[in-house]
Amino acid sequence: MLQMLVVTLREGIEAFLIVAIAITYLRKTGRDGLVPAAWWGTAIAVTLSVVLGVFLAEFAVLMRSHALTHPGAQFHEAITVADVMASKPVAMPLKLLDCCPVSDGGAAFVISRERTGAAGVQVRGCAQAHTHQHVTAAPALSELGAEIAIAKAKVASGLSISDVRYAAVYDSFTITLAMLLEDLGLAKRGEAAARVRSGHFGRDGAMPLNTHGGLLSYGHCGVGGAMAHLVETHLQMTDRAGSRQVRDASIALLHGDGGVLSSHVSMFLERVR
Amino acid sequence: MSDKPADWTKGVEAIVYQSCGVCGKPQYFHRSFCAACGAPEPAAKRASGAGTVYATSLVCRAATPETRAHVPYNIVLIDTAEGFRMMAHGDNDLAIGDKVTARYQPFAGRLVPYFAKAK
Repeated sequence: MLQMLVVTLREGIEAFLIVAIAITYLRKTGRDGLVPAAWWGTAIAVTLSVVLGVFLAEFAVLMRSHALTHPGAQFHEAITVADVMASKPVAMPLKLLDCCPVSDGGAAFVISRERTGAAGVQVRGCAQAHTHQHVTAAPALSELGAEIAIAKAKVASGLSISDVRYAAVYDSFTITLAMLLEDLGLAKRGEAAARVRSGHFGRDGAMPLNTHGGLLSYGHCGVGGAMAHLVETHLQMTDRAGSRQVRDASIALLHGDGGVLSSHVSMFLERVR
Repeated sequence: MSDKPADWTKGVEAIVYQSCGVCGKPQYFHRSFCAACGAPEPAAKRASGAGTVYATSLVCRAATPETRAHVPYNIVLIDTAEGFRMMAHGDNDLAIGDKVTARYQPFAGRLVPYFAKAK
């Protein structure tokens, strides 16, 4: 906490000095008319940094609200956007509650040729993209592997995003989920947070997402953490999700990501009876 | 992968990259071939240390006990003048787009490239 205060104080003083120097310069050079622009710029910058933090916080709050309804989730205490914003800084702008936990646990599923219940789940189409390993070798933000994988998976399955009724998307950090939702086409650019806030990704929303709480709140025990997305998807598709059951999970989209947005797999799953 | 000149990973004050003799693409991670065109034996070259900040993140939580004394420290991605991108340390007040130059300083017992605003 002390460390956070020191950082904030130091950076705050520095920002203050920069603004003061800019305004003094404008005054001394007789361009007083531009001073209001400097103040507006400062105000906009402060607003934007807070807005980015709040946008990301929405994803953490959504995953926690879903985890509250899963008996196996690691976290069962409700959190608010304010809690996320007040959690201690890890790697700015990510704070503790923007990050998935380190978890013990596991996940398993059995794949059989013969159907074991009234409803079965089959893979309708699947595709991968692997663009880099280290983040320094990543392509431009608009050319990441998620977009390549989902485009190929749509062709392989003959489905589009409008066919999807349930989404399971890798959520190691709030920013990962925000980026993937937009890369996959589950939200338009810059609109993922607004969709979270409007309830779009809630259990009763138009596109229920990670109803077990995701990596952020169900927990992240390595490979098992991502497998939990598939386990939950299977439970939803076969009407076995209990109190978390969504209206219709007839077609689901599963997206996994490994490395630092390095390796991507998109999979369309379809319920068959 | 022949004769890689010593660089900061060996405690020497240098950033070394590879440049393809066929397609001319630079790469930071050393390989026996060019990752862009596949041609063998890209040439090892010493970078100038000049570059531009592509990304920055202030690390506030120590990843290991040895790094505890350093927090908060800045991790940056630098687009070098030679055209490859690298991860490094840098001043805490660096912003995206800043022109920077490298020096070298110890971090958790090792020498690392450290970028500050170009004078």
